[in-house]
Amino acid sequence: MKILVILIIVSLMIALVFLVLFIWSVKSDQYEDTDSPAMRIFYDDKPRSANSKKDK
Amino acid sequence: MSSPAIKNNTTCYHCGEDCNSEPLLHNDHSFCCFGCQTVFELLSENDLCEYYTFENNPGNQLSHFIKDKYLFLDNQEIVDHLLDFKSDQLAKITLNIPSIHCSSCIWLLENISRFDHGIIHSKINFSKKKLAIDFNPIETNLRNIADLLYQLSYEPEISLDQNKNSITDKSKTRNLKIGIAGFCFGNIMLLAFPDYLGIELDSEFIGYFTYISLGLSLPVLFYCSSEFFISAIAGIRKKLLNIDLPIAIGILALFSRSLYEILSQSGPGYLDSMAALVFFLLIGRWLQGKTYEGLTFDRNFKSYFPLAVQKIVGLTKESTLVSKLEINDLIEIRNEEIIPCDAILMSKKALIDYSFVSGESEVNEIQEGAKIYAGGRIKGSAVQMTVIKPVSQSYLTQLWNHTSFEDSTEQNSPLLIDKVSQYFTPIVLLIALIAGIYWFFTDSSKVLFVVSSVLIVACPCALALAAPFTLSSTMNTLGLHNMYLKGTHVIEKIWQVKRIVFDKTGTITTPSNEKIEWHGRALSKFEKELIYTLSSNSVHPLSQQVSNHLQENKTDRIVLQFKEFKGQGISGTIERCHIKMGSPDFVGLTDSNFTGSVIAININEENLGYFLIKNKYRDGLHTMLNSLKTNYSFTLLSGDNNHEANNLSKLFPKETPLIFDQSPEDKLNTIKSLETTESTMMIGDGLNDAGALKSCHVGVSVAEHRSSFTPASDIIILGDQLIQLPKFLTLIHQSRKIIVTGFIVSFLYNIIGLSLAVAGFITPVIAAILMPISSISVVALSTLGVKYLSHRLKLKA
Repeated sequence: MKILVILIIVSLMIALVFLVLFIWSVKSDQYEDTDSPAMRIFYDDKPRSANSKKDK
Repeated sequence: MSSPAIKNNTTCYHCGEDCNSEPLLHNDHSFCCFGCQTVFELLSENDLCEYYTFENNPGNQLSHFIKDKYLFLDNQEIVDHLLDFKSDQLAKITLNIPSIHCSSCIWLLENISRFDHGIIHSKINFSKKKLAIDFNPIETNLRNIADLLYQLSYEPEISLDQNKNSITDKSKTRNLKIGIAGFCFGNIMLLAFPDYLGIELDSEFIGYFTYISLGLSLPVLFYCSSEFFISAIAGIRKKLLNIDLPIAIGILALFSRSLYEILSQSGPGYLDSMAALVFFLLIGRWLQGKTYEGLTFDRNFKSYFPLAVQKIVGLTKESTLVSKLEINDLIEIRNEEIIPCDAILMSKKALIDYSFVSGESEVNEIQEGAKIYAGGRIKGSAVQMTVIKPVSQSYLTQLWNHTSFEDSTEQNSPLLIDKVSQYFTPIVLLIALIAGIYWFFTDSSKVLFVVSSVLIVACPCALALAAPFTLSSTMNTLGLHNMYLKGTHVIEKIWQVKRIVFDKTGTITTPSNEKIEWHGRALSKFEKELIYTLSSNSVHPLSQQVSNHLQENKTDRIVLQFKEFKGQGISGTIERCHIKMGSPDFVGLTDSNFTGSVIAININEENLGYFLIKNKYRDGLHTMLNSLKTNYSFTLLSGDNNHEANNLSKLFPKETPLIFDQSPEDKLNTIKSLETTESTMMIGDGLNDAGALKSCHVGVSVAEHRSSFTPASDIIILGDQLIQLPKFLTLIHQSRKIIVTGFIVSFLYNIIGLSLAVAGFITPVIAAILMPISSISVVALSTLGVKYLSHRLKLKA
């Protein structure tokens, strides 16, 4: 039954990792804007390479 | 008029507006105005037409383009103030752009560096409608960037007093607190699970478990719940018993009791209840604290005035901050700019539109040497003027210096929850005391146990949850219908409203000009000329409108036997044709059921048809007023003269005071005197209502678009939603009933819990079951209740 204590401590450690990740995400402003990343995903990185058309 | 308006459903490729009569054609796309076409050309030149592929007609219509609008950004002092960061190679700025509204906007504005190679990087915050730009100050400057955005019809709103970080820091801390409390709550509960099931573990394990729980509860007590303690102490200092006091007492009682039980190894304690309580309360606070970040509720006069004006020094002009203007400075104000301070006109003449201040939409012509007041908008050519009063002392800004603008009103009406808690806290303390005394004489070993149980069970968590959850879901429902509340406290203020005060122009009227339509058989060119000639002979407003409408048929025909029949119509003979025009009765038209003013036309005893001048009042206004009048009384405050008095008195109930010719200050004073007897809700739209909006109990500003400029107010509502107001108010009033029901439910739990506690029966299991059940059921009641009510009112939720 001693294993139970170890298991609980391990599970707590894993949970702590997630807590730290959460704190990091809050501190790095990831909750500041929850709308635009969802829309940004639709854009290609380089919309049409014809950018040089005018420059030529 | 051959047909009732040309049937044309072409919409602008850029902004999606109806291209009324003549769309501009360019590259197979139609545009409603030259502005939209210019933006399209600009985009296609830079190969950014993909803009149009993400959304249909994503653009904004640019109402009027003012050249040199951002001239003041040439002033280095202003620029330095606005920049977030500056070095030789890199400058950072965050701009407010209210017209950001769709995914195309994000795409375009984040690719803006293709227009200007000095821009290094740009990033949008969509919910806050902000654009962060990094640029190289050697290659470009802020003025160019602002002009570029303005050309693309993303007009940046620049003001000097932007409070930058305070709000984000607060919301960050709250997010952290919720996360940590949730983490601790979950883990403590997991460790306490054997207890719930009644499984007896070896005392060895219990020891480990309880100590881990104790460790997990420390951040909850010292970090997450700190705001309750701070607020409770602040309340006591102000001699107010707010809701946080019983919460703080409850948390402390829970913790100290658990600490005692764990250290003395007599039981597992109530740490799970404590963590759950803090977690739910924080979520409630978070919901309550949600606001519409994209909207500005607190604009003051500074946001209306230009940031800087052109000051003339000798032969040169320099931009000067408005706040640095001094008496006798000579300044130049250009077309469409707003005059920032009272001044004397130095140019020969000027055209000034005071609609901003007075609500009257007439342009005044002013001669040299006349006094000009701040807030007027210059029309036409640029004018020069000498400052006679600094900005802070001008007539218009005096309004803002009025006492009603000091932020004291917020605290005047204690929130419902605080009112309840004023009775709640003493009663709980009294019960604890009596129970303690009773048990002291019966079984003194149980005194501490019973007293702490009473305090734990009585902790008003359900009570403290009912209001935030109900109010925030009500606010969300209203937000879905484009009525945006500044915060949940506004709902509580609306409960007290007895009188609704309306502004006229722009509020109950639609801002678009009245429409005139022809109904009847097609008119020949000759007939139109006849009608024009006759109507232009009369000064009656309706005939004036008809003649304006037929302006292109101007001729020099002469009217013989012109007669005006007061209140009925006019008649006359032109080139042997006898024409009558006027009310249907006068002309002999038998139709009735008109939706506006009617001018019937009769030429040579033949009824040709009638002109319908559509009501410029919002559709459904009458129905709205009718359904509101049982619960509210009305007042109308208008800056205009009383020529509409007749029409208005038909709309409003008989006893409604209709007050005309009101200056902004009059409006403010009228509201003030109304406020002394009853709480009022003022609905207005312009800067001229700003004083009234601020001094009334609940200020509602009406906006035509989400991005329009509104004066400081509690509520922003879109114009087309105004007629839904009765429904909204019903929902708001019924939300109060939901909260009261929530209170009753939570009292019932408390009574059951308290009687068990006083009797000394409370056990960890009962506490563990009772506390979450009461919280969850109250939360469910609140949110589902609002959903049910909005469904019944046929509002989407």
